[in-house]
Amino acid sequence: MRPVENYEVFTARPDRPLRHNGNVRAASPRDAAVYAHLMYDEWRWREMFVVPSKALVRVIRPE
Amino acid sequence: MSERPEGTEEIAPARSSMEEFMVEDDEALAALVNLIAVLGDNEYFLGRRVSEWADAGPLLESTAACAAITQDKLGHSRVLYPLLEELPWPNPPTSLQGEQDRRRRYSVSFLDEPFKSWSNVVAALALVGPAVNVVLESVATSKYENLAKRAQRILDEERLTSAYAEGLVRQIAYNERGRKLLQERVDELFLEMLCWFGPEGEEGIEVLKREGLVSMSNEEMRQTYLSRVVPLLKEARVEVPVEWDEREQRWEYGDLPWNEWNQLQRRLQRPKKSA
Repeated sequence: MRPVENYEVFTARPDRPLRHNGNVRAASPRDAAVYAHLMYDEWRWREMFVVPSKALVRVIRPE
Repeated sequence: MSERPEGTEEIAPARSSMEEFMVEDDEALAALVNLIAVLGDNEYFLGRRVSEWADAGPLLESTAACAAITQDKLGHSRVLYPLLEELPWPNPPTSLQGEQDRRRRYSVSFLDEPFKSWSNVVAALALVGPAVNVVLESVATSKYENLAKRAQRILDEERLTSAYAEGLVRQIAYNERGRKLLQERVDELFLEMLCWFGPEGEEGIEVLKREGLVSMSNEEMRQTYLSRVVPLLKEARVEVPVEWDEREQRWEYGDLPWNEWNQLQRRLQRPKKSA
């Protein structure tokens, strides 16, 4: 199977700040965007982003 | 009782208050009814067949997305079917809620039976979906406004489905086994989809074009379709019997099996499989 990687999904509702909503696995950023759009469709979002999990720099780790 | 809550008339006019859409030419009206039945049935059976695999995709994500796509397809058929009753045509094809509701089907024969493999899902979404979309584009500026508006709304939703289908093709063709399975399904379906737009200069489509009900001839639709699907198939190393003619600036596809073509139901007549 085509290798997949993790993407974090960020969404914002109208008049609300951006928040982390979940994640998807996908073989390309385009696929990740499609999966996120179809899976996290509980609101009519103002904004939605997918970010490769490996691109996130952890600044503070949980205790 | 005919009373409606005050103020709702403007938002949702009663059926009786709608002006009936008139087409002077009977041939155009017959072709329009047929076109809507064909669009509705292909959306319905595509949704139905894909739904049968909505719990079995290769990834949780592609499975969940598959379920969402299914809902869209069945929803599209439900917004198209009511137009059949709206047109002034006696005994139009009935809407489908279940697949046995009507004996005559206006969908491609590839969708007749439940799919045996995920490769059928991929081939159907990659080849049937884009064909339906090309026809919807052709009616998106139709003089028949109720059809044009619905086509525009469906096409808006289809952008996501198209991207999903492209991802599925790349995914399945990534390894040789998957590519071979997809090649087999494409071999079964591709000629039927080329026929689906009808023979060049077909009277039904010509009359619809003359009346401003569609914007493309059937050859324009077929060429548009090929420009959409062939590059992706080639990228996935799936072979199809078409070539781009640089001099003529068109896709050449050789002879099509018109002797097996059912013009009314827009499908290839395939021999019934024995039980």
